[in-house]
Amino acid sequence: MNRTRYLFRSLWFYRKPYLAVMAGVMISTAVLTGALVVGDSVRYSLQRITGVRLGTIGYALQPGDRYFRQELAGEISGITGSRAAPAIQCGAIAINSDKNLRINQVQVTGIDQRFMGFWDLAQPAPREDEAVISRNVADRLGLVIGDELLLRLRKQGKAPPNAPFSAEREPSVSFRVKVTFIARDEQMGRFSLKSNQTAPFNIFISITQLAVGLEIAGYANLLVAGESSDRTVKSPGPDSALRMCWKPEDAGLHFRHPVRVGHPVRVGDPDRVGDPDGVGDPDGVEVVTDRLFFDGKTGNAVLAAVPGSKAILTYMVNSISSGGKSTPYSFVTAANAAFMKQILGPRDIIVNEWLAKDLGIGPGDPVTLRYFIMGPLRSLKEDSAGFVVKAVIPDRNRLADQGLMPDFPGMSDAGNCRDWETGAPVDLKKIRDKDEQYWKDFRGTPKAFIALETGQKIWNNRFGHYTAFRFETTGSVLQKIKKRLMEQLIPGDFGLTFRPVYMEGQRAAANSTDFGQLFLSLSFFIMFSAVLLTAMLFSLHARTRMAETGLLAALGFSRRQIMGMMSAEALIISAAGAIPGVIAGILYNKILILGLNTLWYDAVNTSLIVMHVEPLTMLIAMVSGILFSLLVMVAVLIRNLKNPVALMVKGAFPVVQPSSKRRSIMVSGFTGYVSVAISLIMLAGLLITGQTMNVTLFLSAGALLLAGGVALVYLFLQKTLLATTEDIPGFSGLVIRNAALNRGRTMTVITLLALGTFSVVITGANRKTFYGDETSRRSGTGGFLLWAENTLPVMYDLNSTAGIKAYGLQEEGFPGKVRFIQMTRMDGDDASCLNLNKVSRPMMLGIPPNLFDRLQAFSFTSLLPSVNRDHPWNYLDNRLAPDIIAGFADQTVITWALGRNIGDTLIYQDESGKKLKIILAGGLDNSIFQGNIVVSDNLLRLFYPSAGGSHVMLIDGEALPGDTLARRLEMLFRDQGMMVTSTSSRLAAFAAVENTYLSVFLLLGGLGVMIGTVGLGIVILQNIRQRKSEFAVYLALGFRKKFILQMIMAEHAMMLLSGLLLGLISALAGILPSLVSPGYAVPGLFISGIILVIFLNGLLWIWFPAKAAVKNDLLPGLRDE
Amino acid sequence: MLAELKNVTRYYQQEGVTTRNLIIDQVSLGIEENESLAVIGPSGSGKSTLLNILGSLDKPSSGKVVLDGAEVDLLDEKELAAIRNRFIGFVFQQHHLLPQLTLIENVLLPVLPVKDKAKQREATDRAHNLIERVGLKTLVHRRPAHLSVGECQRAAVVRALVNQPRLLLADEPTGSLDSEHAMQLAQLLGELNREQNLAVVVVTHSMEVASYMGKIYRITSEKLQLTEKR
Repeated sequence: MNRTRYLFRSLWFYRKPYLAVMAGVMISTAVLTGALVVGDSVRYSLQRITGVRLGTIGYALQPGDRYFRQELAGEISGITGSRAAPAIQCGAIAINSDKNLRINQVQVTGIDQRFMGFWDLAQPAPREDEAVISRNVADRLGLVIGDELLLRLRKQGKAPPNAPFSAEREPSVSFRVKVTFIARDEQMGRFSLKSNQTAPFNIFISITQLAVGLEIAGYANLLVAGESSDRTVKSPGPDSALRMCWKPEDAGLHFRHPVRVGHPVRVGDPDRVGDPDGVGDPDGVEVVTDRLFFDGKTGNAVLAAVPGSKAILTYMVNSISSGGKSTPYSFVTAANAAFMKQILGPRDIIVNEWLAKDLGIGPGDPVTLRYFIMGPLRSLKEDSAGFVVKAVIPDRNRLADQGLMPDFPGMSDAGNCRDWETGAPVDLKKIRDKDEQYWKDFRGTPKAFIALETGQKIWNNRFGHYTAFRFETTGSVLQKIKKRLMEQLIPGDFGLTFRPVYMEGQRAAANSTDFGQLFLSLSFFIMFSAVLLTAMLFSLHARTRMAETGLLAALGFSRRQIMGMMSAEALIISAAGAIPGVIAGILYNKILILGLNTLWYDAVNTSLIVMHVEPLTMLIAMVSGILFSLLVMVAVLIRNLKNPVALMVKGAFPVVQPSSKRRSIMVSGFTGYVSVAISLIMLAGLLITGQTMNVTLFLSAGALLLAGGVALVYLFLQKTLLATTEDIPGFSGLVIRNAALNRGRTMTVITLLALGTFSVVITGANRKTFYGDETSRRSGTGGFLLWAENTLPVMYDLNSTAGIKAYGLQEEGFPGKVRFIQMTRMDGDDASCLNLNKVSRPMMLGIPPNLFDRLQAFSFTSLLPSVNRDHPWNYLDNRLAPDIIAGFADQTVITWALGRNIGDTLIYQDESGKKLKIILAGGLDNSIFQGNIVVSDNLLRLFYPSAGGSHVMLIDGEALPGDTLARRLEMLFRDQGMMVTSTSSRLAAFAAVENTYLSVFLLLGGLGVMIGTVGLGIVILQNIRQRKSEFAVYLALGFRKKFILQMIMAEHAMMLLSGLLLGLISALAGILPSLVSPGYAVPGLFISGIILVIFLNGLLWIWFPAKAAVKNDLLPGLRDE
Repeated sequence: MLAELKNVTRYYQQEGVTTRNLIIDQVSLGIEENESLAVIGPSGSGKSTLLNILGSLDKPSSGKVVLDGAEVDLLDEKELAAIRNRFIGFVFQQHHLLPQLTLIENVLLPVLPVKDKAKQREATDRAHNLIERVGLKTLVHRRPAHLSVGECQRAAVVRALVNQPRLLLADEPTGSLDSEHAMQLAQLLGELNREQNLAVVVVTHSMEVASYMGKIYRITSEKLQLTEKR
């Protein structure tokens, strides 16, 4: 006889009860494994999606709305030896005219064969009028190979869309292409540079066709690179290679000869230095930019590279007037002394003969310039400045140079003034015949000249302060100048920086929403129940072996030895339960993954989650399962071993000494009454003071009520046991006394059920629904009616006369009824809960803080102490430092998507390549801005002056029946690909994620409570076993078995009901805000259903053991006694 | 003196209640080597309490218990376990044979805490001899479920003796047996007292069983009185 034999004899002999314990261990381990493996699977799937969406691309260069030469890819490839491909990427609307189907937001990418190499596709790249489309586009538009589709894209051009005087004409271009290939996800179909698991709608066409269509022939806005083996770019690396080979054109700079009068030039022409046609000035060289205006940094770089160069700023003025006469729409050049060859004072103006004659002015005469200052969304403010004529110059002198006028799209190539297409309103009636003649003779040759500093000051142009630089040089020197200039410039300043997109994607996936933790917390109750079940089953078993334990003690085994022997059994049982538990966990995980890909799709927004099991995770789950179970079993053993040996030997349980609990009565009484009182006072206070939105306090009050209720039930049972009576005990008296005698167990069951019900009802009732709440300005909708997003930008302020006219809003009768709040959006990652990846640069939205402040729109969860709590929005208008502004985001985004806190800083790169720091100054309470960082629109445009029209807008107005207004707006802005949703629907889409989590919790929580009711069944079994003699006495005294059955049923149904009622009442107190608010619809049916199921399941678990107990012959119990 | 109770009192008192439920009061008892004695008394008189205190399974409310010259109160849990393992043998009213073990395994259960291999071997030999002595030789590999109550109780006696204790404490050992088996067991205890150089204390309410012992004590009104000495 040795311990091993004793161990295995015991295990074998008690195999049946141990199988039950193992089942408990198995359930808890399975749930734990399932939850942890979900985490592994989601993480793995996201990392896999990163690989699928990027192919073997490791790096990407995407300079926003700037363009670089397509040859750059070949040059970088030549230096590094790694693959690189140019592409053009832009948003578009895709239409299948045959079936009248459209997608408003597709991603069109112009590619060549090199790009397809990143997916190792044998398929030839799309040629002209051909398209490769992703499977989801094919499905949505009902397209098959050979079908045609229409693409409408924003004609981007190289100039910023909102630049002063840029064309007003329709900024879109259409392509009709034929589908040649439908790409699956892993065949480039899911291509996206954004760390997001949702699949974009992808359409790939020929890069050449797209470039020509967009009028950017030879240029690209995306360059991807990476080795097929490991996605790296070989030495010297992509950014160094870029520095080695980039050219002025990649920064949008062009060198050419200035052109004399009568010889129009176009920006974008290849360098014309040394051009033998003799059109240009062979000794003069001019630097111009695609972006029409040089920003300060680039301008200074040119001045540093070519000291003493002539700096020029040419602007269109609305009028030049003097003494009642006026000349409309003329160009005026502001230039430095190097160009003017004289120093002009701040009020000096030099005019040409034509203008002097037209206005009848001469030196010393006053002149007034009237001009527009450009605001956002083509908003214009007319300003004026007064000058004094310093000199009059001939029309055809050195300064009279039509090349001084920048190449404003829509103007430069116009045949006459009436053909001008400018972003500024031109009153054609004001244009006289002689003005037309001047245009014919001299084109945009400036009629007047002022000092450079004066021009920069009065026109205050956020796009830049120069339109050209000129200098004298020869061909060989020019190359040196170009080299010097490129040394002065940094590619990053033009957005030309490679991002390690694959690594970023992997990092974003690795730090993604931890579904392991999430499911652990969601499965908490089921695990808690399973562990409790294990404890109960083991306790039941341990009690049957109480005499054995006592005997071992009596035979001289020390407590430690007994503990060791029994724990060894527990360890083996735990392991025996945990190992199949891990396997069951994997099966359970399969169900969860299936649920995530289908039923709970809203939680992950992809159906690409695949199961992935890490051996370490399985080991952790198994060891945790063993340890948890062992812990509870050891706890049971320790408790049992505390009993006196003499008592244990008899297999008896310690007799409850009622009056030994006097202090306990006081404690439970105090706890119960005080908790309930505080809870009721809190509830009353919250209702009286109208703080019905203070969910946290209500929940606390509910939880306190629950704790108090449990304490009071305990007190009641204690008092029942202490009460003495001379009366014959009634049925209910007997039932209550029975429950009170074993009140430890009774309270365990009641508490478990109450907690379970509380959790289930609270979560069920907190499912977010929006009925009636959305009109409140304080709500997450801000009280706005609609949210609109458009693929092609809306260039005008839709509340302005120009905007109303441009989009035909007048005809719809909108003005006065509908207000548009247009917002600027800077591209970034979606940081909403719809994206599982952890993002670092969320999309930025420029909003009007003043308006939001006036409306007192939205609510905040947290604010920096420096923010005025009464007017938080105004804080956004503060420029905290030259490179620091404030931003707000949804608190959930700050905490979960960004993993940050209030006061933390996000770093972006502004348009000029400088760092822009955004301090998170406040957390919004669940708003429609989820996924974005909101900043002041004015400040945003300061850092991103080229930001075009609006892509996002909020719409306020009279709600029309159904979605009439939304559909009317979608029709009006059909060409912009506008999609309009109600703000409450948008909020509901975000809430759907949370609601899905709640659904999972409810399901798993409900399952947990049901397992808890199995525990109730065990309690009954245990109870019946111990009370065999008691039942036998009843029989001996002449009671029928039916009476015993009723007594058992009543006693345990009372526990069940008490638990359910306690949980329900406390939960109802906790969700009082939802109950009293018209904004919430408490899913009463759902909650009632769950509670009913729990109740019926509980009754079932009472019925079976009770019925089985009375079926047996009870009288031997009496003999044992 | 092998074991001694000095002015031992045991009462139970409910918290917050002044009255005490006195079980035994100022009981003193000395047990010499090879002595055999019986404690008789009606149910609830405190016989078992007295035996539990003597066997260190319970603690007195006041008074001293000395076992093998050591005061029980001063022993730690490990020393107490060692005393119970080697100095005392217990026989209970129920045999408490473990259902998962065979007869021989049950008998050898007290040997488990013994670490000395030689002693373990000795104990095993002794177990077989004792089993033979009590007439259970053919049943050693049977489980308790396949033994009669009398056989189980005899096995329980062997289990109590396997470590050669010097004091055998039997709490109503014949309580679950019929009169024939009861007398056989009582006789066995008497013989073992003489053969094994063993002091035996038997708690019983049966005068017939008590008559096999050298002295008979009676508990009345919480006091222990010597009523008969042979």
